[in-house]
Amino acid sequence: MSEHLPALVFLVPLTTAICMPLVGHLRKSVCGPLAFVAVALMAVLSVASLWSIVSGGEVRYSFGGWVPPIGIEWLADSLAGVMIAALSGLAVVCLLYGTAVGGDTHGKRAVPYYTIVLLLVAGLSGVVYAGDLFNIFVFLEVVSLSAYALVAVPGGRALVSAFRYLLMGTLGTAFYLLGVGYFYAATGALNIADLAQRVPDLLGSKAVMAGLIFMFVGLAIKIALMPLHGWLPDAYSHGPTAAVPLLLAWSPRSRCSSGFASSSGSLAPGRRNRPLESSPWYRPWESSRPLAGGVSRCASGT
Amino acid sequence: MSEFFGAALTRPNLVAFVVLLLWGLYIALAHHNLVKKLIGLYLVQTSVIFFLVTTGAKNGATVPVILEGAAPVTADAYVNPLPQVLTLTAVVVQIATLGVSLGLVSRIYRRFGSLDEDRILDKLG
Repeated sequence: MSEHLPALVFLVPLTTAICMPLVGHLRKSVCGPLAFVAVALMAVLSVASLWSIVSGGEVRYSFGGWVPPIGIEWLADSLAGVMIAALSGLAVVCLLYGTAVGGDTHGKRAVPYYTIVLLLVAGLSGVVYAGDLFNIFVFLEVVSLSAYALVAVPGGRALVSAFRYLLMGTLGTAFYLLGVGYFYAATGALNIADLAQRVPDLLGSKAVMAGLIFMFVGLAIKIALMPLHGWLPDAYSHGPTAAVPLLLAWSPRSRCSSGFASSSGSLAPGRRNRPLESSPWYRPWESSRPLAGGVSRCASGT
Repeated sequence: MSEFFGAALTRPNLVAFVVLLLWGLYIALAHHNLVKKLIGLYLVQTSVIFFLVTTGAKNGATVPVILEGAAPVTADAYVNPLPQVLTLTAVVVQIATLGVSLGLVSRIYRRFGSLDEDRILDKLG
C-alpha cells in the first residue's frame, strides 16, 4: 500500500477535478466542500507518504510496472515528501479560506474555479514527484494552464494580466522544452537519475551548455526571477485572493531545488561537487519560500 | 565566421529552426494585436517541435516499425521514435495552450471591445 502513496496523492485531486463538472451540474453548493475534502484527503495521504519515506526510505514508483529507461518513474524522496506535505497543507489552508471563511464567492464560476484549483494542485504534485525532464515539462504545462485560467477568474483587469502571464509563461515552457531537447540530443536520456550520471562528463559540450541555459531561462521566466518577472505583480495582485498562495507555491521553485538537488544528491551522496548542484538551480533556500510566501500571503489576504 | 556559416549550411534543418524561433519571438513581442502575438507564440512552439523531430531524423532511415520476419534490427535503419513521441505530447500541450489563450482573448475582446494592446491599456487607465 505505502508504495502506491505517491500515485494516490496525485490521483485524489485529479479524479476529483474530473468529477467536479458533473457534481456541479447536479448540485452546485457541494463543489467547495468536495474540493476541500479532496485536498484534506490528499494532505492526509501526503503525510502518510512522508512518514513512509522517513521510516522506509525513498519510494520509486514506475507507472504500469515499466522500469525507468523505458517507463516513466516517479521519485518520492524525503525532499519531495516534505514539499508535497507543505503543498497539500497550503492547499487545505487556501480552500478553507476560500470556502469556509468566504473570502471569494465565485458565484456561477464556482464549478470551473474549483476544478481549476484541483487541477493546479494535482499538477504541482506531479511536478514535485516526476522523475524525468519531459514528465516535468508535461506537469509544468498542466500547472501553467491552470494558473493562467485561475488568474483570469475575477475578470476585468485580471484578463489582461492573465494574457500577459500566458504569453511569458508559454515562452518559458517553450524554452524549457528546447533545453530538454538539447539534453536528449546530447545524452540520450531524459530520466534525471541517468542524466545525473551522464551530464558531468559532457559539461564541455556546447549542446549541454545550451540546454542548461535554455532550461534555466525558461524556468527563470516561470519562477519570475528578477529581470524576467514582468508578468508577476499584475497576475498576483489581480488574481483571486484565495488561490494566489497556490500560485506562489508554483513549483519550479521547489522543483529547481528538489528535482536536481534530490536526484543528484540522493543518487550519489558521496559526490558533493556535482556540477548540477553548483548550477544556478540549486538553491536550498528556495524550498522554504513557497510555504513562507503562501502563509504570508494568506495572512495579508485575511 | 565563414567557418560558422559553412557549418550552418550543412545543417539546413537547424537553420530553419532558428529562423522559425526568432521569427515567432519577433511577432510575439513586437506586434500589438493580441491574436498576432498568439500566432508568434504558436510559431515559437512549432519551431521547438520541429527541433525535437529533427534530432531524431537520420539519412536513409525508415519508420520505426519492425516488420515480421525482418533481418536483425540495426538502429541505423530506423528513425529514433522517442523524439516523435515527445512531439506528440508537446503538440497536445500546444493545442491546449492555444485553446486557453483563444478563450482568454475572446473574453478580453468582449470586455474591452478591442484586440489592440494600446487601446486596452488606454481603457484600463
